[in-house]
Amino acid sequence: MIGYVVRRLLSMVLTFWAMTFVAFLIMELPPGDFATTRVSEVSAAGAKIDPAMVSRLREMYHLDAPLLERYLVWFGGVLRGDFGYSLAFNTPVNQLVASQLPNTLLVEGLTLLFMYAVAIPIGIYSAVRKYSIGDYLASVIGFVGVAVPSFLLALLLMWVAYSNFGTVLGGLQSQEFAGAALSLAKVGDIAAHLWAPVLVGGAAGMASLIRVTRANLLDELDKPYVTTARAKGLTEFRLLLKYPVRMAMSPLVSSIGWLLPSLISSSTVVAIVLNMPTLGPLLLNGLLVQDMYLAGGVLVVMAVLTLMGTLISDVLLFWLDPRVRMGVL
Amino acid sequence: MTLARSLRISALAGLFGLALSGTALSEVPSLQAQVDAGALPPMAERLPESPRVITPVESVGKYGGDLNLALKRGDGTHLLRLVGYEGLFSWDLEWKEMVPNLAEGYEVNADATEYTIHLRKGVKWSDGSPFTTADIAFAYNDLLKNPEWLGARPDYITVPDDTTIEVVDDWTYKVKLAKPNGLYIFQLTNVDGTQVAIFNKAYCSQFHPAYNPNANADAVAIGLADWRALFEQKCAEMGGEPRWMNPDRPVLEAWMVESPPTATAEFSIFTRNPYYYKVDTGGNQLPYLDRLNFSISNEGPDMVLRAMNGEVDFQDRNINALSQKPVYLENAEKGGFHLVDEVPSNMNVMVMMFNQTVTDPVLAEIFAQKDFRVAMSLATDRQEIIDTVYVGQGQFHQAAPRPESKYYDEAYATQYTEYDLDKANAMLDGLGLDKRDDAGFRLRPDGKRLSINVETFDTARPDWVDNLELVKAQWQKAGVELLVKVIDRNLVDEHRRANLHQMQIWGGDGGLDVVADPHYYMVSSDESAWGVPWYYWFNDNSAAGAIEPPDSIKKQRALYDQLFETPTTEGQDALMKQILDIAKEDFYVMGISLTGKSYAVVKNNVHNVPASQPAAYTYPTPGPMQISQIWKSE
Repeated sequence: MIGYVVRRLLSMVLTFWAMTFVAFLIMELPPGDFATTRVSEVSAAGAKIDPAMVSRLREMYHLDAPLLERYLVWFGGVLRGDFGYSLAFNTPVNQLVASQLPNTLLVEGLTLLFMYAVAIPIGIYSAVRKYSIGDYLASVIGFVGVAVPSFLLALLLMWVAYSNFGTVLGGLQSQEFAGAALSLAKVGDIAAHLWAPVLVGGAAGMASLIRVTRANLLDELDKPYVTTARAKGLTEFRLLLKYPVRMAMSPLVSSIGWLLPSLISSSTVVAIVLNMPTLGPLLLNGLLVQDMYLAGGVLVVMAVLTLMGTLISDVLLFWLDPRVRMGVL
Repeated sequence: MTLARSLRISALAGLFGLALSGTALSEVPSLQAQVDAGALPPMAERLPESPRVITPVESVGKYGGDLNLALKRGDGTHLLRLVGYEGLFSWDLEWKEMVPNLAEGYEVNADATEYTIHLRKGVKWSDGSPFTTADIAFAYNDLLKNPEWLGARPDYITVPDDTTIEVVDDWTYKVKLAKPNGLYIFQLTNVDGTQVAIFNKAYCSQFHPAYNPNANADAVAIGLADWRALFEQKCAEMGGEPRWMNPDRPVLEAWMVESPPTATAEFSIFTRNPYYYKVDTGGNQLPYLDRLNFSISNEGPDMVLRAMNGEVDFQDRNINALSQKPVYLENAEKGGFHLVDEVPSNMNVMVMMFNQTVTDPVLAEIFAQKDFRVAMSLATDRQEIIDTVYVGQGQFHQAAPRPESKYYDEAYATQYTEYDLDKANAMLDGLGLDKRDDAGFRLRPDGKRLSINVETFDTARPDWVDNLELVKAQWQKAGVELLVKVIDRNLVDEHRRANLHQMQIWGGDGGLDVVADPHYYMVSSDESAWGVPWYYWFNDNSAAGAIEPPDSIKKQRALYDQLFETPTTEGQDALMKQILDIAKEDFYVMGISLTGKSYAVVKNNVHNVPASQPAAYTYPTPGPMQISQIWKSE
């Protein structure tokens, strides 16, 4: 077990380095740089532009240094835990990421929990009661969830809330609680704001989860060990949960790793629509103005989350599935 | 100076009038406690000798309350327009008169090279320190004229060495210009004029290497590039949101930042500046409202929904898309608001610019012919564009001043806007472009297909791409191929500056601010995408990439230079008219449709918002209407 984890950790280090390099490279791809974007923005606002401004900005932020040199300087900082200064906001990236990371983990964590809590029981139900009305209903809802883009769902939800209930969905808290200490009232207020992104984010991911659970379970249900267990007189419920469902979980567990970052990136659009103070909008902002330190910082955090997720799912799988254990030993 | 005197008299009259009614100079209620505690001097001591008197739009207001607004994250321009428009001079509501603001008046010599500017005596920064010529000199000498200055250099100081500041006393200074500039006060009155009056020398100089030898080291020590980055954190220039990130910075504005609109903030609050230098006609210190209360959004639809839900008190920016107007009107009663008009300074939804200096010599020759440009205008079915893309809202308009402008010329605005395909085809045939290929497209004299690449981007204005797709189909009927290239915005700018484009499009700025922004009427900046190398030639006729312009373009430039040497508005108008006549005759670029009226959302309990105001950047709507005189009833 320990050797397994150590090997995983070693490959993570390499993966991490490769991720930062590719991320930095991709941010260099669009034409122009932060200086030209800043100048375009200022001139779009209507202000008169001094052509030398571009070169002054480049010189100050060392944007004219070679790509590799800039990468090494940045990566050196990242290794020391210093993501540098956001060019666009003139604020340490650490500070920006630190303030949005808890919100992100809160929203995404709840979304994940919600997804699992709803999708797995539905998946089990529709596998066990295959081709029943309930199964069809779950399938229809699932496919609608896959087919409707989550931002559209968010927009619809906002419009329904506005036109029927006269409330505007958006944000994570009401103004009177901003900066206030945690209290019961504040938790209630956050909960009143959180349900929308959790519902929208969950609905999008839920459908595939239902289908995967259903398909996996269907594979297991006809296997001889199930028949044997049933013949030995186990109650149907206990039988179901202890054997085939556990087997059907392995593919789901192995997907936790990429579920976390895909949730963060897929929820970016939802977070923008619903105005959530999370990492997604920060990343988009950084990319739009070509602030590679801000965007790079958020990407590094996402890379770390992915790696951690993968590790967790590997360890879980190891613990859950004897076949994996046998394979690595 | 007569203007200043009359202001002082009206202020006195105002005070006197209210003294009779017994309410004069009563303290601002929310400041009373601080005054009683001795933490703040009484109102009379906080105000300058002669405060600027603001005549309320409708009524003298009541103190108190918050103005609720929706701020798009990173949109510093919104704050600049709302709070930050406090220059030496200010536009009046009609965008006609230049009114003394932080200044009391000025004198100019006959050849417009020396301006003497008198500051309003006794104006104080929000920390109670006096605003003097030392602050102005700091802005010019240590910032704008500093070769290391990172920010924008406004149009009145594009060549830093051409401007010399001579301080006469605490409230008087002289500006000496190497070249005449008859528009100097005009440029100071525009929003960019605020750049010289936002730096409190006592506070900001501590971050400047000329006053603090450790300024650079201090900045580097906290991980910043150099002193300029720290200076931007503490004393940022006029545009952009960094200006409102530092609550410690003394300001001259009506409200000061309490909680800044940072990259991650969800809300931002501005509170009353107790030293604000304006009073109403009753002698009451402005502003009426205690606070500005922004809730910050990521460009999401929540801003619009909040406005419809009556949670936004007064706003135009970011929530007033034309397509949403019907929905606002539908929900006006429910949300308790109404809409007021805004007249945009843009004159066109889209201006199409044939690059007459394009590197392809055959295409350049074709573009250079007026008949070609006229034919393409006639081959454009504007009604179809208006009906399809702008839901029927619009009127045919070339790239010409708006009907509201004093430079409006109906013949200029509507020439060649009719759809006449036969005439267009005949004109093109007449130019020797009568041979066609198998696909029906005309052939150029060198035998290649007559094909034009038009470059644009779709991030800011999705309607442009829709328009171009329609124009493409329309021009195909005239045998001209239009290839629409949607590329990155930066690339559009880069191609234009490097003269790598055949045709570009843009929105029609300069419909009201004709003199300030004439780049569709003449070659006045590198935004004149129809002849950027000509612009380079004017700057430096030996520069790489510069091309000598034709005589009519040179004539316009000479007239524009003459305009700058003319100190009177009448003289300037006559010269501008001549420039426009040449533009009308030569027909450089073509427009589609007049930009329609825009609107702002106003809650029904918000008072003193005018029924109509101009909308522009140089006239930074809604700044000139004076937000400080808005008040709210219960």
